[in-house]
Amino acid sequence: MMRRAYAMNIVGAALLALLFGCASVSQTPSVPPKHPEDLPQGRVDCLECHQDVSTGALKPYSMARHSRVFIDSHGTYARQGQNLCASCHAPAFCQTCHARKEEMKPDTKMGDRPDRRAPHRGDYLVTHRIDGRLDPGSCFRCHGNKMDTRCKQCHQ
Amino acid sequence: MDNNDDVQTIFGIVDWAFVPGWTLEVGGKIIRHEKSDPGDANRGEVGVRYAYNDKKDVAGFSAAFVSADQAKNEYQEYRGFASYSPSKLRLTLDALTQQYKEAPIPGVGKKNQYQVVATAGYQLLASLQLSGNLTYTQSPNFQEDWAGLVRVNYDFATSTGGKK
Repeated sequence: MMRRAYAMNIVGAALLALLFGCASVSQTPSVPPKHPEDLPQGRVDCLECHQDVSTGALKPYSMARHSRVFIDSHGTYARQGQNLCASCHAPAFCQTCHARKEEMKPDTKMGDRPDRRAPHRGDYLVTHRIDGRLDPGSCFRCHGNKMDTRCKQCHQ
Repeated sequence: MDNNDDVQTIFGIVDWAFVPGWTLEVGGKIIRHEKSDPGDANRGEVGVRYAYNDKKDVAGFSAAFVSADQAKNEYQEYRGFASYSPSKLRLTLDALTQQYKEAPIPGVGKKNQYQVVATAGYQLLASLQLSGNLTYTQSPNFQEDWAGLVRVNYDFATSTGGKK
């Protein structure tokens, strides 16, 4: 058990060193705090201007493509700096899902946007029994740990 | 949940825009428990999306599979959705089913759940949209459930758009 903990510490330290190393040579391009051109209402096609090459001040589309991988890790990008998000989204946009008190499930609230990856679709009260049993860490990410009041509402 | 259990998970996701407008997504997760209950599990999922109508609309299909040491933790999930936005009208359809290997709620024999969400919306003004959801659910919790939602969206110009 001690040897395993020691190995985990070594791996953790190596990963941290790698993280700091990558951060120090980050090639993240500078992003203006606001989009320089007015954007039309509704969904916009970024590819109208942003191709997958950097030309002058234009950033490549791949930088902000909202792919599955990007969405799953968008919190990491948001914490790195607000400029990239603020280019297209005002802070109120985050509250669509990240309001502290949800009056309804995001997938219900955004039922007209099935393309968005709102979690817990369907009757998730049933499926959470399995997902919570198998991978409780995935719940804690948003709902706090098992001592959190959110779980205690039902799980005394 | 067991406070003394040790859980390790490894997961990965890959998405690939293999043709303009088409995206393939593949994901996997390996879950390992120290305790035999709940035991180990693996989850795999694959999906494809297609953006059309000047990328205003998206259709997609996905399938996910959970295989586990214990049958009570195994299930499959299938989902399909599509939207259609002619002019100021917006229509969407979203269907989901989860097929559990064993009845997930003790005492309730039902092993599957189905949900269909249909929505319709109309852009009344540039900043005002009226829309509604109609949801049908059949699950171990619900023999047959219908739910409706009427939504009025007014955009105070604080949600999107750089200089707005």
